[in-house]
Amino acid sequence: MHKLIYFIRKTYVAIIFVVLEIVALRCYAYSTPYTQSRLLAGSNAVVRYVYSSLHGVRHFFSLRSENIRLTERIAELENRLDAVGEYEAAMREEMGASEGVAVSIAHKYEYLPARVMSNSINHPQNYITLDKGFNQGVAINMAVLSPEGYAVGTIVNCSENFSIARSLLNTSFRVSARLAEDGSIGSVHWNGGDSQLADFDDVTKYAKIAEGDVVVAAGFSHYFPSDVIIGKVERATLRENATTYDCRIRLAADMSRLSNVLLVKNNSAGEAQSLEEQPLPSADESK
Amino acid sequence: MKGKGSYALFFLVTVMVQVFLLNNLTVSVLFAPMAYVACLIMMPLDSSPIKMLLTALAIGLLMDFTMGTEGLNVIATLPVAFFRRPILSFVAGFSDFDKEEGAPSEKRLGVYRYHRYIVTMVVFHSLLLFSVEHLSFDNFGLFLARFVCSTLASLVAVYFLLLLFTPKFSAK
Repeated sequence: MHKLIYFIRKTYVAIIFVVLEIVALRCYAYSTPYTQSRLLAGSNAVVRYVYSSLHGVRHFFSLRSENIRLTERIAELENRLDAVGEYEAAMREEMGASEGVAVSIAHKYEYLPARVMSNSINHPQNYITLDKGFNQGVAINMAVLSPEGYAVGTIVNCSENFSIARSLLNTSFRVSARLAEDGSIGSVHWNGGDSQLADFDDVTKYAKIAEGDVVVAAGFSHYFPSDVIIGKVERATLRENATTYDCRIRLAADMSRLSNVLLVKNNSAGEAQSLEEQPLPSADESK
Repeated sequence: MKGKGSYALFFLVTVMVQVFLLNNLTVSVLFAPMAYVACLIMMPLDSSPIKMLLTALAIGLLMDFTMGTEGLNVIATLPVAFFRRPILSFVAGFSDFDKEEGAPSEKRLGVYRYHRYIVTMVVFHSLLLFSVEHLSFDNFGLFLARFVCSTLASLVAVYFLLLLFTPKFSAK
């Protein structure tokens, strides 16, 4: 206590100076729209710099666990590659093609790795800033997945070298989803509460839902590949009108520890979208 | 200075010159002389830091009120007051804050150190004031021109006020 009093007595002038200076800066900042925008831009730049530096340090210390996760992912992908190889060989045999003739398997999705520059989880509208932009092939509406392949968000804005993704933890974000086992569809959205839980609504009452059922992207949006895991059902309750289930799901991606992500480009999204935008022929014309 | 009365008179005249004369000068946008910093420059050498800070706050608020600048002058005057002792130590080589009384003068600090102290205080104040006023270095040429011209004008105004009041300073 004596030390605290001694400390305050030694530093009270500096404390008063700092407090008065902050109050004056605040008054000046809010005096005109110009000062407000300039000072806010300045403070944002400082915060961004500090945040970026802290992120760099955090990223360095998470490299070990990151490596372990990536190794596991590589092993999983190797297994899938083997399965694709076997499938390709079977197709070749069925078609009677020789070894030299390539069997074309169209690539519907392209994957691009990116690093997370900043990520928020404590606002109603959370966004993720990534270190890839137009120059690296990023486009608006690309899906964002965690390194394990779980749904994270979609790209909403893009500059030359950076992009911003709307996180699943954003109250204005909705994605079509279905139960992996049952196939019943619904809609996943976040209600602004717990950052690990989201709502999976409008699931038909005839669906067979059980705790732990996997919820995957339905693939209706053209952006998220179908079967991308979103989360697991934690509890399901039948609505009062008894026509649909409201489910609570635990998100598969750990949104608070994102440091690397995968961006997914759907090569056929543009074609499907332009087809959908064309006017449909009327009943008379079709006859 | 001889006493509190002399300092109060100096304070009053400086504020009036600033408010009624210098604030109404419309020579050019580059000239914005700030003579009121002389009130802080001429505070007695034994003034406590808290006394300096409160005086700076009072002057800053008064100037903000008369200029309609909501905090700009306070932002500039507070650091000038807070860092006056370090400036006196480094620029004027003065450290006997508890022993020496009275306003800074050529006799107390030495001719060269005294003028170096005044110039440093005026430049420091102007730099803070015009940096915060511009908040951007997009138009750096204009900022530099305004800073240089206004600092020179402030120095002229401060020396003019000091010239008027020098006879009232104590003989030491």
